Amino acid sequence: MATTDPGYLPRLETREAFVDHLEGYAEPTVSELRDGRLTRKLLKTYMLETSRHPGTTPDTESLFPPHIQMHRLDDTLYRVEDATHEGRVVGLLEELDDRHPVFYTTLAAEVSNKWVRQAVDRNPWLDRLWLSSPILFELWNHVRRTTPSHRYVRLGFEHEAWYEVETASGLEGDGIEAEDIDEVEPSDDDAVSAFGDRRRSRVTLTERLSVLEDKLPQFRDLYDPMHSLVQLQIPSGGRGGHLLYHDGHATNRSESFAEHRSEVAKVIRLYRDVTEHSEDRLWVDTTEVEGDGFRVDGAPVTIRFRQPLGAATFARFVDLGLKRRTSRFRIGGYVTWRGPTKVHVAAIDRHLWQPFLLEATSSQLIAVLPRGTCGNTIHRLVTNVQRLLDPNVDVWLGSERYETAVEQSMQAAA
Amino acid sequence: MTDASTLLVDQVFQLNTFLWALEDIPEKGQIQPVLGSAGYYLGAIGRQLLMPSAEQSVAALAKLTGSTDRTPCRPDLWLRHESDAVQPLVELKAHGFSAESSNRRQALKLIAAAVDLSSSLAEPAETPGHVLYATVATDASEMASTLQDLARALRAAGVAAAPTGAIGLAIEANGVVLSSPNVDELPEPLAGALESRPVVLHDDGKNDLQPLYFVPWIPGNDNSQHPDLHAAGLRELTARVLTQMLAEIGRARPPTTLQLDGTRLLRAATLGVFDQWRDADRRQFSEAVAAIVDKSLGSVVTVRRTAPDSREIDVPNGDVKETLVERLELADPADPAVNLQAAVEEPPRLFDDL
Repeated sequence: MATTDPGYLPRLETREAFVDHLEGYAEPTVSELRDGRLTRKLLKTYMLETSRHPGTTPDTESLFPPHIQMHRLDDTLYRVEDATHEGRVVGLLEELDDRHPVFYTTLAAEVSNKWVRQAVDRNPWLDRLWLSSPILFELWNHVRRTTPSHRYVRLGFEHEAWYEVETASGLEGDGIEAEDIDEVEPSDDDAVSAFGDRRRSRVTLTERLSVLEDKLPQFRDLYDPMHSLVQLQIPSGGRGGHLLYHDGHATNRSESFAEHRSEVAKVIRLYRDVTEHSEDRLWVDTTEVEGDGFRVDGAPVTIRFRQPLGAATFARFVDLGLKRRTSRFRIGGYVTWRGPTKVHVAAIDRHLWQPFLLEATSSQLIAVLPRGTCGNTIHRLVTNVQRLLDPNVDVWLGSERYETAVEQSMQAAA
Repeated sequence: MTDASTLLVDQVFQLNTFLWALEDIPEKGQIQPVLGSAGYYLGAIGRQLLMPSAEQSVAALAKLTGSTDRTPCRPDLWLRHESDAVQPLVELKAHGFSAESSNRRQALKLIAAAVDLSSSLAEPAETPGHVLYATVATDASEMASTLQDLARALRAAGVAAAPTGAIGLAIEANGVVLSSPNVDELPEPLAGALESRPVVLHDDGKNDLQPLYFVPWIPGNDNSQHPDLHAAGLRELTARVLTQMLAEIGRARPPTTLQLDGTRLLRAATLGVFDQWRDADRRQFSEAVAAIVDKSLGSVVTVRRTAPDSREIDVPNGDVKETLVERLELADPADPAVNLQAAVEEPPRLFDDL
């Protein structure tokens, strides 16, 4: 039976009241169990990023457009009301740390995804957390170390060679901001899609941990899209788990909001550690030395494709991925062509409007991030390159492998 | 695509090629950090090197150079090594030169001063230097001979001379190659790095060899740089200035008033290198940036001149901010309307200095 419950939260006044409410939320009612249906919405969490230096962004109350009202409940928790939703409570915002607010909502997924797209994707002060494949794989390794082998784990892989062929949506932008790839399924009557075939892989595995541990390395060797991990369900202590997505949203499929919040906090600790390690290592700056000379500090980030892009694909990537406002890469700037498959970009990251330098060729991206640039840029690049350009890439922070940095950050966070 | 021989003698290209050769990046890519992999890192660009102060050295240098000028040299690149004590000082030259050329004085001073770098580094222990001139590979042997001749002349005059060497840059079938005609005389780690004539920038046969430039523009080389590369450097610098303007406007929280300051924008656009420019260049370019603010934003908002190199605009609301952002995003760095080259070359207007 379809439900019309949009999933607004009640207008409660304290953290305790909300936690009690959300803790009870996943518990089905007797009638729901009897009817074999669940009408209540799952809790979705959207992990967000502001800035390493809090003073450079507006206060939390002013982060969002004026129609979104933040009502402070305690030092770090806000009740979020939206005038475009008749002033109803669309969710809660918690500052799990001073860099990463988290939005909890029980709105239906299509409503909450749209709300976050509108509130975040064009907001210069906010970005999503970009859980790149290496970060999700490191969390998977953590699951392997901490979960009984009989438990079921869900892994989702996705790659779509978005720039491989020209599409109707591609002519206007990469079309990804408006609609997630998940939502862009061709219909039976979609002639453009029918003639515009391109590589597209979506694989979801829900299996016992022991089986996945045994088979996954072979799968990855056989089929390179399985290097692009975009979903991971971390099993909970009880039933169910916490489903993490590449774009920083998570669904609580466990029985406990508190446990879900704790898992999210762990992900954010890992993310913050690897981000700030990257920033410390990469930020390029000049330092004056004795006698008027100067030194260039820092290092570039390199993302190397295993399969070079074709010239047409590369051109579409530059035009749609690097120049268009609607691109998931969220980059703009001034492009100088250095040949058919090489560009230099005086680039700007639309999150925090941070300039940086980028060389893109058909076989790699090299980015030079000036001091102060948010390390989130790196995770966003890696995540979207793996989803949209090449699922199997090698990434370095300077000469250090990105995976190594992520692994070390996991040791600090777990 | 830029002609290879033109690119190779361009000092901006040479400088950036060396900077990439020293970078902390993975090996076996399109760019090989051949010097970084050998343990070298950048100590400084343009750091001053104090001249010897011993009377005998001063007198000998005066005799050999024909001048009593003791102003410090500023080698283009000052390299250090993670374990080797010898610090190479690298000068970049479009072409080699003879012992009688106008470069003679600078080279003699470098060779004499690099014997011991400790006074320049304010360090107590003796620190040996090694003078290297990098130029096109076809001139490298002649360059090495010239440096040896000059070192001999110093020794004959009773002045100690630092070891010297030449590094050649060549564009070969597989890319930009670094080599040395006298590899045995180089500091050991450098000799090891250059012995195999490594490729720094790989040529894929389809694209320009130019790497991403850390330093896209060096002021004062108008006459020595090819006009196309000169214009391209200013275009790139313009693009970087425009992104800084975009950043300042993008981060504005309306209603607000923004100060768009040429000095600040250029400092950010050059990763801070702007502070090393000569005063006259700094002034000229920061005023040119202010003129770009006038030209690029003047049709959207009132641009107030608060100083020759600074402008002020009001951003009253989100719509105006959005229009300003769109205007800048559509700007073409090659367009004379917003280009640094045009702004720099523009004759001063009446009352400009008021």
